Amino acid sequence: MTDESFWGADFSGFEVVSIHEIFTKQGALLPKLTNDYVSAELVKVDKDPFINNAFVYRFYLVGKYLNNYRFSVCTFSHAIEIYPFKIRFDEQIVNELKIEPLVTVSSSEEATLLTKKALSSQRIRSVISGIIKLSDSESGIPF
Amino acid sequence: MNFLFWNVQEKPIFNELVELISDFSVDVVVLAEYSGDTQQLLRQLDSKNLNYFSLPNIGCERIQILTNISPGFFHIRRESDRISIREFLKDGHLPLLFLFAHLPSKKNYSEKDQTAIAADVRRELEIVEAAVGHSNTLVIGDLNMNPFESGIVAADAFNAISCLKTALRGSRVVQGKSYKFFYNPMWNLFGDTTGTPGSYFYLTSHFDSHYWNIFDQVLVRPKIAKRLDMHSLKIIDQNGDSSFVNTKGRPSLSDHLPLFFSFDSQPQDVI
Repeated sequence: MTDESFWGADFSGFEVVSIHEIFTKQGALLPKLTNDYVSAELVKVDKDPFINNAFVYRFYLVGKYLNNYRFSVCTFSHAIEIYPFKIRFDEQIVNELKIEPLVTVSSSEEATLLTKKALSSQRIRSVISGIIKLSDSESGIPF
Repeated sequence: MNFLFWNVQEKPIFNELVELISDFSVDVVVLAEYSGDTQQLLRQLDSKNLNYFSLPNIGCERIQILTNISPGFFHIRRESDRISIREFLKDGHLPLLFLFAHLPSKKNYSEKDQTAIAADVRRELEIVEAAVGHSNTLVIGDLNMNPFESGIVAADAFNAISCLKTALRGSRVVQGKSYKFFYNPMWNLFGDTTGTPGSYFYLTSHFDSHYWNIFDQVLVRPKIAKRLDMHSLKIIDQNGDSSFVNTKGRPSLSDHLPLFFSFDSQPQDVI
């Protein structure tokens, strides 16, 4: 039997940026940008109403000083390969960006572009601002 | 606590709403498709010596909540575009969890889609129930499904059934997995012997048109279901001289009729 490796010599060419990495990296920036008021969380979920791939994840904004309030930004899903994947954003983001309710993303370039548009949308800015304001005023809300 | 839910279809219904809130001594007003000026509504209430607050929104602009209870007792927990989950924590009252919802309509979603969405909402709710450590939960809103549809009845969706005695078993097991029940009192409002036959009327050319539907609902976890005063539960088609229906008896002010119920939140030996 031959000792020859059938695996190929170099896997580095297959290194692509996954949507998980994009969200994780962007999520990690958020506490600094919001004085720790808002963070992000990427969670594996059992199912999604419209996406039935093997791996389903949901991306939340989290209000640390607001009883860990969570706002669901999007859900994405892929098979064992990370591309293509399907992603479904919050309905107001869909309307604002004029995108399909369920988008199939085929490459990391496409993923980066779409995520950038979504995370800089008016809707996301409004939710982040709402979390900060309410965190600040929670103690000031009349009892 | 008295609750009023109304999908007002973006209609200017200030006067009728103020009268309802006043006449029914409503403590928590939940509005869907409300596009009016909330401050103006609060001022109008104030002019009748009704001191109400608007609960702040973050991510669920589809639902507006007004209350005469101080907003600080309502803690916002989790939201998406379609739902707002809030916990009510006040001394002398049972801790309660409210899921206020305006779920997608049949215009854009199939029954299968609606069921899947309901299942997703149920999962989000149960995460919060686990986090807060109780399931004294009420679901209130325009669910855009009838009580008999899959999204309301299916075990992995709301699992809301018409029989409290059965629901008090707590849960049912399907394919080895346990699903907690909701009790759905809305079944008692079907038919035309006790009032209007539903909360929403629509005519279709389909063979199986129901004409009247009960999309606007309250679901309650069985353990606290007896706190909901069944005699108070009603779909309102008239208040004093104001009729909310046309000469055919169909909704006229909005395409939905308001839903009212009373719930006893005083602590007993329930938890």
